[in-house]
Amino acid sequence: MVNRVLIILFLILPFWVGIFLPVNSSGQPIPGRFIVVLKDDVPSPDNASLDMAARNTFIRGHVYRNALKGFSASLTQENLSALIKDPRVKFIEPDLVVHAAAQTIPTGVNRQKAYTQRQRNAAAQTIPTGVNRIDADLSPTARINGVDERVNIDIAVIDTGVSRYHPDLNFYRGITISGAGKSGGNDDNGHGSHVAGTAAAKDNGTGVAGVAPGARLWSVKVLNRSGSGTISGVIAGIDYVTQHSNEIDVANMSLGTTGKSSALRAAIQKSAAKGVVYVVSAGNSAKDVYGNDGIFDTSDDFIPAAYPEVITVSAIADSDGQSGALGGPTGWGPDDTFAGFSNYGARIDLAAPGVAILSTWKGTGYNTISGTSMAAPHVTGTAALYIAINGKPTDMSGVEAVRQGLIIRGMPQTGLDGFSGDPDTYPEPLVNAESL
Amino acid sequence: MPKASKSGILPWLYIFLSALLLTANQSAFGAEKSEKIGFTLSTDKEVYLAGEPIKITFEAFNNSGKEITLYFNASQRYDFIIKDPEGKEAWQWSSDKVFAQVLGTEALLRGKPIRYSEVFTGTLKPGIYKITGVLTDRDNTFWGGIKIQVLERK
Repeated sequence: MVNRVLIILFLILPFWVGIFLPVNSSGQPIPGRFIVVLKDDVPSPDNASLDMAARNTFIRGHVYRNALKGFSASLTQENLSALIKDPRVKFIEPDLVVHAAAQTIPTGVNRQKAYTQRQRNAAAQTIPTGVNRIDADLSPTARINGVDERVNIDIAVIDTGVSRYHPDLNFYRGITISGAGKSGGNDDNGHGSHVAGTAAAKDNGTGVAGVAPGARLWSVKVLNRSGSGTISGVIAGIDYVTQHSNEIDVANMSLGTTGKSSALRAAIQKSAAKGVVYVVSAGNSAKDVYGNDGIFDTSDDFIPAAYPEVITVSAIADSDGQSGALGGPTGWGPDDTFAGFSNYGARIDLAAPGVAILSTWKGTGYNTISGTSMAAPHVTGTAALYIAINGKPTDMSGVEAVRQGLIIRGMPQTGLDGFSGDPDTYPEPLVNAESL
Repeated sequence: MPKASKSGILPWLYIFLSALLLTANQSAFGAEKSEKIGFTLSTDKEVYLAGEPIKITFEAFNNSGKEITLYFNASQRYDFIIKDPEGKEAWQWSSDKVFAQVLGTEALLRGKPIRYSEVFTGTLKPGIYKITGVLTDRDNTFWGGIKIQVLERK
């Protein structure tokens, strides 16, 4: 009976597939995605593909064992050249678009920009509105064109972890600080993966593209699955980053609390003195980062945002990825205005989009969420691009040069590409990823 | 039956304190109802020996007929505060914590309370303490608190 059902299913399955294939499935190749077919005498496609992935540093997609022997994967030109020479490989062909629903670009994205060949190539993946608003899609360093060429920079995400197996994230190394949950830096919340994606999702033709596509991600898991952690844990995370300061260029901290901690500040100072640029979210309490008293180093400060050694980022509401306030209203203010929840004050260095931001999520998912947590990684990605152009800082003065470089090149609030509604008199510019 | 004497008062005192502890081995509990959201705050006991862990539980439940959405400014959902007999803060759960700066919501469904629990493992001096539970949603909903007693450990 079971066999009979299977036979019937087998016979009608092609028709089901035909029914559910979108009419506009273009069959166009997905840039960077390939199907690798192995020779019939390869005994185990699992072992062979694992071995190839390890040797050539790529992440496998599906592994085929029955209908054919092979696997799918996102491959760089380098990977391709190496795999073609591998005696176990029969042939390699481009993967095709079969599910258009996951590859639509939201209304308004690229609406006002020249639709160049580069952008046409990138049309199979979504350019999130925030990435578009800060013009990372026009950066010659980011090279967002649907081809998986990675920005050669190392970014630490001090957060809830980063999804180790997300095809859109270049997970490099991970650590879980004691008490933070899942091991190996893997994300059990989603927040850290979202931050990672905004900063550096791969430009691989699927999913989303980040500001500094494909940068190597160091997951430093200090927050648990509820998104909370201890200051001591955060310090341990900073300690780890400092230990690897010769490799890690930028560290993102989309976290904070109200209080005072000399130890936390000292740890950041020491780490920054070794050339690590720290980018921090301003906080979501619609208050001055320095608290009600407006004075630094008091117990009502929002930390680590209040520390002068970090780049502090406020959030704006942007609904269409474009300047000009022509987009629809958001839940946190009209298009191109200061986000209603964002902290503000003299300590803010830069603003970035932080409302309804689409990015990667835990597992292999995607999610749209809001907060200054989402604004900070736009600046982290931009700092990564800046460092890719100008070189890695080796001390605090180098870190300060990155901060000043980003501020000077930012889009002024009062300019054509600016924003309105900043509640204080300190006009932090909107970060600009194009002109670095 | 032995006579009670001056030197024999200590055993009686011990029995009295033990009885006190025995009767006090019930949870401290308080509840408050608003038009839409009700709150309960409880501890696993009412009387503790100094250094004994104190388990605190905070519940919010829906009094209305409709689903209520609670809005939060960060990943923090709650807080617990213990104040000493002089009203000075002895412990606050969130004081050494950091939180992801992402906006969030929680759906409060009728018949499905939201429950948060933490264990205080520090040592309090003997006295009467007030414990407060706070739902850290955008309205910073606050519940007044309950009292516990801490006795000296012999």
